[in-house]
Amino acid sequence: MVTSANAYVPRQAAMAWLRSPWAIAISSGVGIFIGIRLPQAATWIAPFGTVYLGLLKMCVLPMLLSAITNSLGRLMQSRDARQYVQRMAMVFPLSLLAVSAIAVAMAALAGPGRNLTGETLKTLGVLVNQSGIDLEMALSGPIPTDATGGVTTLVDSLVPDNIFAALSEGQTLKVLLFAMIFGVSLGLVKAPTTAALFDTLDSLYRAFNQIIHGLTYLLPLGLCSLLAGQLSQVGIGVLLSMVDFVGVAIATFALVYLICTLIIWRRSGTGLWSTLLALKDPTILSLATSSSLACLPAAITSLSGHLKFNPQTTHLVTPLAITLCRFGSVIYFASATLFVVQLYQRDLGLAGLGIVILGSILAGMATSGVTGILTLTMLGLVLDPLKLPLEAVLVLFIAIDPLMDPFRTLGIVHTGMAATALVADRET
Amino acid sequence: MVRKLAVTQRPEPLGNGVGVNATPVGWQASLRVGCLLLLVALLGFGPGAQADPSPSTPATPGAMAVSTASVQGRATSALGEAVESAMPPDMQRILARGKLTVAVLGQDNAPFFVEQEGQLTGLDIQLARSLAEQLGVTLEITRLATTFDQVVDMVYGQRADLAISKISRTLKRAQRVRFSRPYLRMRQGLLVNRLQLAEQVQGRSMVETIRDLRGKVGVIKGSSYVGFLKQKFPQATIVEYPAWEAIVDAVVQGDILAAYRDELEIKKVVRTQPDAALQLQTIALTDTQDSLAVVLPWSSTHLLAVVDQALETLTTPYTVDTVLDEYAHYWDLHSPQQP
Repeated sequence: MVTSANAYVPRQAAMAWLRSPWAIAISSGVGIFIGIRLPQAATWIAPFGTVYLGLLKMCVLPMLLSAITNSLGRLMQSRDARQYVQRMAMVFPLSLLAVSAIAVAMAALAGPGRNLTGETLKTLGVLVNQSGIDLEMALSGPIPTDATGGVTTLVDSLVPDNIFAALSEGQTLKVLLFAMIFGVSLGLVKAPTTAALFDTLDSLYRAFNQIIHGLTYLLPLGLCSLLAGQLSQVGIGVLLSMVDFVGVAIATFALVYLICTLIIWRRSGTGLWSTLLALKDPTILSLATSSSLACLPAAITSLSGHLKFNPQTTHLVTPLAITLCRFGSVIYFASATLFVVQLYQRDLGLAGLGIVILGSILAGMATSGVTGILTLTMLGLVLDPLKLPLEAVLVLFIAIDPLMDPFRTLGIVHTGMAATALVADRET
Repeated sequence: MVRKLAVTQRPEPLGNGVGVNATPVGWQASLRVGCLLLLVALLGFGPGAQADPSPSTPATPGAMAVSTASVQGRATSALGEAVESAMPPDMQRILARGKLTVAVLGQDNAPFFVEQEGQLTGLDIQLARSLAEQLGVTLEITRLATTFDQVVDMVYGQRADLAISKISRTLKRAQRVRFSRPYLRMRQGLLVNRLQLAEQVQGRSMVETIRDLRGKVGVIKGSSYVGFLKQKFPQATIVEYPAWEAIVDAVVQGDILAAYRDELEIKKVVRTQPDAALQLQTIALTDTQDSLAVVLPWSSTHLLAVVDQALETLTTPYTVDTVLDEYAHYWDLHSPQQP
């Protein structure tokens, strides 16, 4: 397929340079500069980033559907399905527990939110006041129903009563469940005619993968405008007041990233440098797009293409790990909860820490069905059992979210890849 | 504490000077004196209290009617031209004096009345100024009262033409004085300790929890909010404090669950103490009322109409938030007392 592309692309060397780490580094540098120094220019070039992100997301649902149906169907036919399901049942819960515990331990040791100065509290308070979170309520009349549902929304968002509605509304979880059921049933059909459908799904997947591959040439441009747009939204004042929390959260993400890189490196059996090179694309994409779904194709390509993990398993496990486990959100909620606990000077004890670890996993996984600010409201799932108030601190987390979202996405994608690497075998 | 501002406070009842002038009536005195007579008669209207040494017992309407009839008869028989000055007595009194006397509480209360660098400013003071300006008279502010009820008493006793002093309209007060239309419609508010509230939520929504509020709620001792609390939150335990600051401190410390007062005072707390905003949730109760109005003596019916009309033509109707925004600089200058 490269030969045909050559016919339209005259200067192969220049094009190749666009994919080099240098191009990435330069464009991120320019993006960061524009975002911090020229917020006005950042809004001008923001549409490029939006278009780039839109093109990436365009490919996600077809790829998700074809990859999962295809791999699960073939897995059922090859009869080693049981082995992978068992591995997933082991790896996913254990890795969730591990990252949650790491985040809680880091936050408990570093103690963000402990002993804040009066000045810091004042800055945070002014921010809380600005956001106008006064509650206006009547003492009589009907009680307004709350939109947030927590666990029930997670369950509701699982089963699609109309798969086409789910596809057109981009409800990932429903599409995921449908693809799994469809894949399993397709695998159970023992007729030779299914081969044609598998081939169709395969070519569908390859076609979209080709688009994603082509889009990586535009990555420097997209990266620059996405980074600039994101950074221009971060309020520096708030950031400085919450600097200890931001620091601890980013340090936790870095630690988990390091551990996951080691896992992927050991499991892949290739050299460290080539592992890092293979991980470059999904890492940069996560930081630039803040959308774990948009990074899904890159993560699959990285694992099955560059690191030579079994494609079938990778195609199945990576989407599940990234869309269901939401490691990054789990880490973030664990850190955030401990920040709130220490901010309100609550003493938790060991049982309390256990609640934080489990609650963060639940809250993190509950974010799989939602997007935007609703993601952060899932923090209530952890704070409620601890009897801690959410509304005031939610404002603070929303304010720093433009900065934290990329790292959270990186945590979701990269840890998801590591979990996949633990489940999948290397291609021999 | 007694403070006098603008013009020195005159302890003698209003209109006394006119009465003294009127005593040497001679038949040779012509039109001018006739006018004065009419004036005295008109002034005798409301300030039946002036004749009476105790200010708390105003003249009965019956007596007033008699005096008016007799004096009017004299005046019209004397000279028909006097009709041109037949102003409503309550207005005439102010115009003759050339001065509007406004009662304001002696203690500063931002953003309504604050003394800044020797100057009295604030929302209520501005209202009083524009009223005096529109009447074409000077403004005298008297700050002898130390409680809100004393301010009302001053107006009732006619020791001031009216009061603009963050006075809430209550039925009890309305039995003795007249209220203008509200110049600031407020609602009742709760200042809640978030941590304590989170203990109570137990899976219910915030609205449900507040409606069924249990626990200690602080109110100012002897204020109308004691009654409101019993009525609106029967499950809550009433804790009465002598001062508002003590209530706020108790909420911040978590000694009590909530404080109950008008929404402006509630919102003022989180604005003046932003470092406590993380602990505190402000709640405005939309189906409650606490409206501020100008207080007038019951006899000043015409002045009431004038005041109402003046308030109606205010360029921008005040709301709690616009007031808080507009007067935000008061708190920047007056650093609030920290707990």
